[in-house]
Amino acid sequence: MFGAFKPSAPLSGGLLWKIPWRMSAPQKLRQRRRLRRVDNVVSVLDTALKRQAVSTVTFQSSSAPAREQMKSASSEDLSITAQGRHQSSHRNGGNTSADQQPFQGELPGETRKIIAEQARQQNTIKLIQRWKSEMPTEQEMLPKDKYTMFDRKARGYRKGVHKLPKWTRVSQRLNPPGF
Amino acid sequence: MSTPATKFFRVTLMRSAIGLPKRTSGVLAALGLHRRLRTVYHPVTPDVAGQIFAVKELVDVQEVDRALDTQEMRELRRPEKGFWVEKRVRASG
Repeated sequence: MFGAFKPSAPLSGGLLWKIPWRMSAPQKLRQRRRLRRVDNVVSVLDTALKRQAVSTVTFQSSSAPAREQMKSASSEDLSITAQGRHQSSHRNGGNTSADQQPFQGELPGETRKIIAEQARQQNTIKLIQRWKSEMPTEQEMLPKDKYTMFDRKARGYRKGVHKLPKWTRVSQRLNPPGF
Repeated sequence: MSTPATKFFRVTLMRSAIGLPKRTSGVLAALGLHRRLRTVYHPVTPDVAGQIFAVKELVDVQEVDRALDTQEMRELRRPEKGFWVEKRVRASG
């Protein structure tokens, strides 16, 4: 018996599927592309919403009675950008210092409030703000987090991310800090 | 004074939602994506963005100025005819 029908363990036994314990190089390549694709979708949504907000503001400014509103909005915008910059720099600092431990778990109430506030001011949505503040992009992720994930039952507490059901269509980027 | 130009999200379903939670396919149906490679246009609003965000692993998104209708999309897909008429032959009686 040769060829495709040789009696191997998966064929002669009942339900025995084998998933290799690590991903192959092309699998990893495709995984990176998928991650980048999702990053791209999020950034497109974000920039589109922000641009929409800007265009509506300028539209308001072109009509005479909305001048006052426009002025206040612009000063607000400045504060937002400063805040945003501060936030991003803070986040980058955190990443460099504790590289192994991305932010994880429930947000404290204060952070959640800040995210909601930011979303309202920049006319984006809370979901996207939260994703951007919590989730690392493909470039920021460690190879360890791209290709493996936490599993409390696995040796070394890690298993290949390709063992996750529907792994090509779900976002699995964060792992518990320290594992 | 002109109205602000509304932009559109051009959303294409790249991956099917077979085997994913019902909620996911519900969102796709709400977006009008009933099969793979189907393209729909939606105005850029926060609620549409939320819907797209819910299925971000399955779709491809671009921001465009104008929503194409079915006829226009079909014309874009139509391949070249492979010939062109240089001179009409006069119909002989």
